Amino acid sequence: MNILYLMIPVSLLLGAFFVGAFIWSINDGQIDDTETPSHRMLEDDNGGL
Amino acid sequence: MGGIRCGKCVRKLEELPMTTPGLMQLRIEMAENLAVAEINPAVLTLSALTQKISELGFKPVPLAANDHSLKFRHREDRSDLIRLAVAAACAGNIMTFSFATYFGETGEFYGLFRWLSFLLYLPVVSYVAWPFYKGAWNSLRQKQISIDLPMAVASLSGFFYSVFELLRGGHNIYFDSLSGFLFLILVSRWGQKKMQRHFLRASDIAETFMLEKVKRFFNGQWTWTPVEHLQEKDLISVAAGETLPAEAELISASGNFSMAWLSGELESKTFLRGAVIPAGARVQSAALDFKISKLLPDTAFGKILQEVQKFNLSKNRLVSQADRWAQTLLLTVFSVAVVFLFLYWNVSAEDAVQRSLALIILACPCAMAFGTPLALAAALKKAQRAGLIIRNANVFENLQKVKTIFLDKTGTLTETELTLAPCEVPPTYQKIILALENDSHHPIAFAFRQAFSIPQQLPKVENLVENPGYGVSGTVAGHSYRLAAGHDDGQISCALFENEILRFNFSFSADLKPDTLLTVEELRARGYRVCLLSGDKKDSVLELARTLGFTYSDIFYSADPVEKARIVGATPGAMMVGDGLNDSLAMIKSQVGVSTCGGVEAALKSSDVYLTRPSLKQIVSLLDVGHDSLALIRQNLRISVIYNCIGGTLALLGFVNPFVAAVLMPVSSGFILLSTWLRSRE
Repeated sequence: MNILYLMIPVSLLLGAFFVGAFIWSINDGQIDDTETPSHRMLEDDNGGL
Repeated sequence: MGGIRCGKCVRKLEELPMTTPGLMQLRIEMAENLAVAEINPAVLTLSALTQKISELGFKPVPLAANDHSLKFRHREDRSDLIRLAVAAACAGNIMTFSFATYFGETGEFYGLFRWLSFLLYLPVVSYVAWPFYKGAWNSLRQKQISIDLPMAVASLSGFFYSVFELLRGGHNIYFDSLSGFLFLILVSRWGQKKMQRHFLRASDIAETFMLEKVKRFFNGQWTWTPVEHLQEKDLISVAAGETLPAEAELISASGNFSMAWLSGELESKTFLRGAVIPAGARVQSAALDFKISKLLPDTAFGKILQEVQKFNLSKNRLVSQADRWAQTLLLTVFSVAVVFLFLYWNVSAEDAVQRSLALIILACPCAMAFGTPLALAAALKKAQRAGLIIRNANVFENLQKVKTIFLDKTGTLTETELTLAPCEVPPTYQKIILALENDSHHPIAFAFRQAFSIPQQLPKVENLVENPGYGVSGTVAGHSYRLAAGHDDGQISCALFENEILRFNFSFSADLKPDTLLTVEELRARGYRVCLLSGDKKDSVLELARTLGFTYSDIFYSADPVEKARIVGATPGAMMVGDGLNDSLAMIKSQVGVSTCGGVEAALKSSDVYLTRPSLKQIVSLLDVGHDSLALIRQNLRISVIYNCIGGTLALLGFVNPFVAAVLMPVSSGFILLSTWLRSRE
């Protein structure tokens, strides 16, 4: 079970990374508007990408 | 950006960059009616962009540079979300480690996992719980107990006790329960905030009224101007279907308007050049030109809008009472927890701490702390959807006390619109009468305008004097004229005097408003005493009363404003429904004053509720909304009391450990939020 001494720090680092990514996405303003994307999603793309 | 109604609109706008050089990106935020555009100013100017957007059928209004309210709200939301994320991550990881210890891990990892729990709790006790400490401290400074206090106490005392146990090798550490608890509390607060914002957002009525911009003739050209930027004496043009955003003098030859927002009538009224049209009138003919005489915030109409938009819950009696109960509950819970701690310490110190902690965590004055404001906000929204504008939330409470309903006659039960009885009037006199009544908003004036054909030119009137309710007088081509309103055997009548010689007599009739009989019967069926309170003469009042089935003791006629106020004031639990100058005194004396459409400025200032639709059935809707909202508040309180009593007892008896308590408490808040939301959707 000594592998745990490796796994614990790795899992904590992974967790920290994801929290950091979440914080980044919030500060980037991705979660500010939760209503429009649901409407935008229903429209088809004409050309564009 | 006004005019965004659906996904198609969003798409139309967001595709604009593809066909507009210089526009890099256009992003819509539907909930806020906001658009964010990225432009290259060398290629495209802001005004060219707004022009293009207007052509698509939207109403773009550039935001003032220092409009920070949205940014502030976003920043607040963001920090709340980050706290949630940290809380969730820490709680989840702590629980992972503590599960192992629960399942019997005792070896070398036991100590490691416990210390890891401790380390992971540090960000929680400091960062995540910070708003609770701040809130609790602020409220204590004001000698009050807020709902933050138990959270703060639980978080800190749990922390210190667990550290103590950790250091001395004891078994009971609570980092998992506390972090889970704090996370769930934050989730339910988030839900509550979103719900409250949803309910308090401007409803349909205010949005329909919302006058975004208008065409103004400025610096030699017509430009779209936000209503806030208008000035007196500005020349504006209002198109058909648009609402006049200020009180203004009509410059076009004549125009048809719907005064629906102001008087409830849906038929159009005709005004001639020179007449001053009130704000809130809707243009029905082709586009008309006006010169502004009074800006929106100074008009009666504008003042109503302001009231609707800043509905303030904090001064409400029910909310303050709920706050006081919440504090009482918290105080009780704390005292019980402390007393229990001392009493049980000798039996088992560990158990004592565990049970007290469970009690503190479990106790939730949620129904009081946010259930009541939420229910009231939901009720307000429901009311607005039903066409009722309620000035303040105390109305809901006062509605419960109403036992008698006083109804005014003219304008309330009967239409304000009058019809002129057929008569022969030569065109010259028609013109004179129209000229005298040009500026008048009296129903008689409208009846004249309806009946007579509108001439191209009106004779000029000198010394025009209007005595509201009595008549108008003036001089035309050297002759003095007087139009005197009066009552003639219960009919409204009017006489034209030329140089004090009687020339013509006119009589007018008014119909009952729709649903009047049904409403009166419904109110009686519900047990209210319905009375007719009118300033009209005995005959006309009795005739109407007979049609509606009033008993003699419930009929009051020939009551002047002071007499009306006296009658209403002498009756406890009175609701006064009326309009016009006559009723404002009575409304002030009543428990709830309701002004119907046709409301004159004084009535609107002194009433608590304003009916925006002509049907009298709205009174019944009002009573329903009031009843439902209080029923909801009471239901929430009952749930809360039952939960606290049962839960608290179980906690003290040891059946609920802090971890379970940590789950139960947010669940109960969530339950109350859910019940409020469901009931408000009907």
